[in-house]
This record gives sequence, C-alpha cells and structure tokens, in this order.
Amino acid sequence: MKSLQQHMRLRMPMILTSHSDNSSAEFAGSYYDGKSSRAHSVSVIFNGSTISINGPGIKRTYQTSSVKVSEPLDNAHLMLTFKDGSACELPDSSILKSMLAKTGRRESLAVCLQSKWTTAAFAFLFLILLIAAGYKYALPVVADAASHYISDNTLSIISSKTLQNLDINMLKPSDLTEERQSDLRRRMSEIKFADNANLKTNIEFRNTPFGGPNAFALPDGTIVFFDSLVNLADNDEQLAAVYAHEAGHVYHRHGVRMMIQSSAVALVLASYFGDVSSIAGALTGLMLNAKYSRDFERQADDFAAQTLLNNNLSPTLLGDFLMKLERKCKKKQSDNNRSMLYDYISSHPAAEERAREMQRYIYHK
Amino acid sequence: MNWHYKIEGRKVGPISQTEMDRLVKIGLVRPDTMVWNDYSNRWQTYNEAVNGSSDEDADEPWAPYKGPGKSFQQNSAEPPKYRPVFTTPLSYETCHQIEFTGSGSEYFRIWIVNLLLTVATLGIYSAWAKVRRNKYFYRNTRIAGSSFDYHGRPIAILKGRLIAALLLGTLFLFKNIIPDYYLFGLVVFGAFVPWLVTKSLAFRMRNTSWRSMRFRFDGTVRKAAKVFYIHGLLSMLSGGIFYPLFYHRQKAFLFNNVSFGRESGNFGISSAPFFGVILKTAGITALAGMSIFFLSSTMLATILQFFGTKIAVLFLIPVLIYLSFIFIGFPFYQVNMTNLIWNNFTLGSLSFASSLKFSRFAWITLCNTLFTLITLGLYWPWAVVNLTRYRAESITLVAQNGLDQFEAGLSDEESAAAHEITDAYDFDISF
Repeated sequence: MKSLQQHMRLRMPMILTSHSDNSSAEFAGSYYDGKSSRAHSVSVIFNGSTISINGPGIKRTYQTSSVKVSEPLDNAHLMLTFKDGSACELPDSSILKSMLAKTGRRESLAVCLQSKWTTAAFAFLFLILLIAAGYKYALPVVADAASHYISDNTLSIISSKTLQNLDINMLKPSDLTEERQSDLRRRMSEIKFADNANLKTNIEFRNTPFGGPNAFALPDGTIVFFDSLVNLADNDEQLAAVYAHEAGHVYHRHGVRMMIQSSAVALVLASYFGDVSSIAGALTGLMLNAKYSRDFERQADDFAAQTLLNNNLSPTLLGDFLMKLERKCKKKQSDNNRSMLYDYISSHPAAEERAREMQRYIYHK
Repeated sequence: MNWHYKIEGRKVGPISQTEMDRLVKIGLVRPDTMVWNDYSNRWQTYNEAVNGSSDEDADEPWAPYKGPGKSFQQNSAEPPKYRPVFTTPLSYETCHQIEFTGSGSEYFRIWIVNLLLTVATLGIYSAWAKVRRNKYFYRNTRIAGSSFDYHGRPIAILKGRLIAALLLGTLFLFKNIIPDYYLFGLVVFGAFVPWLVTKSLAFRMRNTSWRSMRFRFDGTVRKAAKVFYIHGLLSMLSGGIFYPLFYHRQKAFLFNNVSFGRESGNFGISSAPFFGVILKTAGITALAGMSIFFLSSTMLATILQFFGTKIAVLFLIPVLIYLSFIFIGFPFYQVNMTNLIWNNFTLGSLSFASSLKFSRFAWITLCNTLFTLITLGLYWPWAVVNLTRYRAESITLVAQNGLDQFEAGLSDEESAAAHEITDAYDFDISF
C-alpha cells in the first residue's frame, strides 16, 4: 500500500512535500508583490500557525490568522491575500483548504450550503417553501398594512386611470336610459352605511360585449354595474344588495390590497426573469384580472348583510340574486362553451352556500 | 480601410488602418500572416496585400505601401513612404487566450444559495450575493495562468442599490401617480446619471485586480456629463439616429479612462463603424423577420383566417421581428460590436484580438433561451456560464513586451490611503 505522502504526490503534483502528520506542507504557487504585475514562482510552506513564501529573492513569513483566504471553488485558484497588499495564487489547493479548516477557520453559511449538492438541494426546497409561505401568509398582511398608507387622492387617480383604460379597451357606454340610471342612483344613495364606515361611492353604468353579468368596485368607491346585471335583477332591492356587497369591498380596501399584492408578485417575477418593462404593463390590467379571495368575498357579504339589515332590507336579497346569477351563468356556459373572462361567479364562493349564510343573518340578528 | 487578420487559425477583425500599422510594427502581423481587407476582399498574406503580388519582388517584400485606395503596384520612382520595423521577432508566446474555468453546475449551487439568502433577508443579502457572483466569474477567468479577483464590498453595493431604488422608485411614482410631473422627475433623475455612471465604473475598476494589482478608472463626472447631455440628448432628439455615436462615446469614456499600473487604455476607433454595425443589425433583423414571415406563408392563409388580418398585422409581425431580433439580430450585434470594440482597444503595449463568430454565438443564445424557458429559469446559471465562457475564450491578449512589466503608479501608502477614503464614499450601481 502506498504511503499517504506518495499517494498525494501522485494525485497532486503541485504539492512538493507533505509531511505525514499533515501539520505542515509545501505547495507551488505564484507570488505577486502588489507593486508590479510580475509573477514570482515560489513555494508556499504552511506550518499551522505561519505561512512562509520562498522563492528567488523572496522570503516572507505571515501569521496564518492574518491571511485572507479566498472562498473555495471547484476550479478557481486559491488566493491568499496578505496584510501588506501582496498575494499568492495557488493552482491546486484542496489539501491546503482542508489543512486550513483544521486551524479553526470557519466558512460562511453560504459556502457550506453551496459546496454540496445535497445542501444546495435543501436550499432549493427551502427557497420554494419560503416563497410559498410568503405569498400565502406574509403578503396579505403586508398588503393590508400598506393599503392604509395610500392616500385617497392616489386612490382616485389610480381608479380613474383604470376605468379610462377599461373604457378604451373593453367597456362601452351603457344602453340604459338616463332616467333609469338616475333612478337607480337615487335608490342606492338611500342605502345608509354604518356611521363609522364613512364611505363615498360613485355609481357608473357600462355595457360590455365580453363576459357575463357583473359589477365591480374600484378602490376610490366607484362602483360599476354592467347593463346585463341590471337587466337580470328581479327588482331594484336586489341591485341595492349587490351595491352593498361592492361597497363592502371598498370599505375593506380589497381593491388596493389586491393591487399591492399583484404588483409585488409582478415585481418579484420581473426581477427573477429580468424584464422590468413588464411591470408597467402588468399594473394597468391588474384590478379586474385579480380575483378576490373567498375571504374577501365573505367579508364583503358580511358587510352587505349588516348594511341591508340596517336599512330594513332582507339579507336574503343578495342570496337570491346570487343564486339567480349562478343559474344564468350555468345556462350560458352550456349554451356557449367558452369560459367567460370576467365571470362573476367563478371567483365567488358557491352561491348556494353564500345564500345560506345570508339566511342565517335573519335568524341570528 | 478595415482589416482582418488570422492569429493561430482564428479570424480577428475588423481593425482600423492605424491599429493594423501598429500590429505590423510590433510584429504580430508578419509578411506571411493571412490578412483580409476591404480593398482585396479575399484572404491573402500581408505581403501580397500591400504589394499586390508576392513573387514580383520577393527580394524586397516590405517595399512601399501607399495607403488605402491607391494602387498597390510598386512604383520605384517614389521613395518608400512606409517600411515596417520589426522591433521584436514575433513569437506566439506573447499571445494569451483568456481562459474560463467556471462550470454551470457549480454556479447553479452558488446561484440558488444566493437566491435563498436574498429572499430570506428580504433582498438585503443581494449585495453580498453580487459580490460572491462577481468573485466566481472573476476568479474563474485567467490570463497567462493568473486569475482576476474582485474586491467590492457588499456595504458599498447595498448603498448603491438603496440610491438606485430611491431614484427609480421616485421616477416610477412620478410616472404612475402624477404623470403631469413625469418630465420633471426625468430631469431630476437625469441630473444624477453622469455622477452615478462615473462612480460605478470607478468602483468596478478599482475593485478588479489581476496579479494583485488593481485596475483604475480616471473618468470624470464632467466628461460623463458631456457624453450623456450632448451625445445622449442628440441621440434622443434625433429619435435614435445618433444612438451609435452616443454608444461609441460611452465606450470611449470607459476604455480611454481605464488604466492598469502606469499604462492607460486607448480606444482607437472612430464612431463610423458603430453606425455600420447598428445599421446592419437593424437590416438583418428586419430581413430575418420578413423571411420567417414569408417562409411560413403556407401557414399564412390559416393564420389570417384564424386570427384576422388586424391581429396578424398588429401582433404577429411584431412578434416575428422580436423573435428574429432575439435569435439573429442580438447575436449579430453582440458578435460584431464586441469584436469591433476589443480589436481596437489597447492598454499600453497590450492589444486584444476578439474572434467571436455569429453562428456559434447564435447557437448558444438559442440553446440558452430554450432551455431556460423549458426549465422555468433553472437553466439560467448554465446559460450565463456558457455565454461567459465563449465570450472570454474568444479573446486573445497580445502582450508584445510580456505581462510582467506593469508597475503600480502610486506608492503603497498613497494607494492604501486612497482606498480608505474612496471606500467610505463608495457605492456601486449596475444598470
């Protein structure tokens, strides 16, 4: 069997000598004095506490603790940087690395993680978990907190810009008569919210060739009804219920929160894929593309039910209308097998379940 | 007149007449070196190129060269105007191909750990990540057996990132919230640009070392302001027509002000070839886009039927132009611009020969893009390493006087003190 020394010599031709106790070894390297670009061929003697450089006209000794050792990499040369600005480059240094490790030199967490595939794989898994957890738990909380820092003025600018964009690209003016529109506005302005709500709403009517019956709220309190939704309702009280539901979204700042969340996601995705220009484009269409979570819908339903009760109206109005909406959309979908872009139902919790919730309000409150 | 020459079987060029004269003078281009120029439009020996034919005057191969455009026929009545002097005999030992030893699998691990720590620290670690990434690429790049090193401090980079985030955030707010004041925001942002660029270049150079000697950048904010406000505005106001001039001035600002030891850089080429490269790129991109469009003409009828003419014109054609830019125009531009810049740059007695080839570069770009898309971005580290390796290894450094003669310009103490002072105000921004 070969001795350790012979073995190392065969595998590591750079090592000139290596003592069997492994506490001292000699390596071939290039020394640079920091004053000129001349490369001096030297031998580097590592002796536990000291590192000596020996070559023609060069004889230096440094304390090991004062030497800066570069991060270990697979193919890159090891660089020893000394206090006087000079440095030594060692082509093959795996032995020196392990010897330096024995002197109590600790590598950073990053180096420990990246040096092996197993730890790198763990880092990858942990990264995925971290991103998933951040998206599910941290982002909504942060967005909620941040939404309170956006001024009303900003909200109204964002909202009017969004509506302008939609008017240009998707929406058409309403076909409802002026009388019908002002009648509905008057009917809805009679709905009083709880004293602490302090809501200012502004009702708009639009027609659209895309999607089914729908209504949506913009962050500044603008609530847009589609003609198809108005025509679907059995009576104006049902529309008032939808209005109360949308006002709930405004009250809980759902629109702004979704906008903050979506732009945060867009920002992260853009920085990952390195395309910043996509952020600007993504922002405008966000409001409608973003689906409210079930929690947001429930909050809005609760707000609606409370408001309806306060105005001596039945919370079942909303439930009845939701059921009707669902039947209509189901029928339409079977008629026409294309999925609707802004399908009111698909983003909402099952209408039947919500209708039941509304019933509950009557008995409990 | 533009020249090309062959070095160790690799084509190098285009280079200017001045650069060619210099290479002849230092002995890199010899009588038997294969060269190509606009005039001859074929590969021949340098001797043939300047004298017409080699066998006519075999005894006096270095007789007069009369300059571009004139007859290459020898006229014995005129005294020789130009006679190359060979100061040093040519030796290919003076040519050093840049080596790159990084690997995709190793960089993947570094990248993923960087990403994890950056996410876990809400982005703060990104400055440390940048240092570790730069160190990986610098330390795996070698010339004549010695590797480069990067010394940037994460705190300085963090500072730069904060400044950049602040400026870009303000600009973003201006654009989206109060669009009426967007122009004002742009002006404020523009006022910072020359200062930011100069500081960042100085930071990058000062923190790059080879054989433990730092590079230096001596460009001033005043010079940068001239580049950005005169040539930048000219480019903007002309709708991009003068962009090549602007780009040339930016590169000249970088390469004329860089130095290593006591030797400083010289960017020895006018802006005219820059116009050429950019015009050719635009032409080739448009041509490629159109030919893809017409090649798929069999499908064209179906496309028109399916999407309608309006969508085909508004959507399909821009997409095709975009694709042909990514896979044909961009590689063409990169290859020609990189070769043009490096082949005309000298650092003291050092010169560079860049021999990127379009076919290889385009193939790497195509593979990188496809695999990165298929793997949802996980192939990215391999893609970066592939391209870096090809770019690095295509450059040959020509060091006629060797690589040992660079001397530090300042004394030890002075440079150390200078480092301390600049470190305190240091920051780095990468655009």
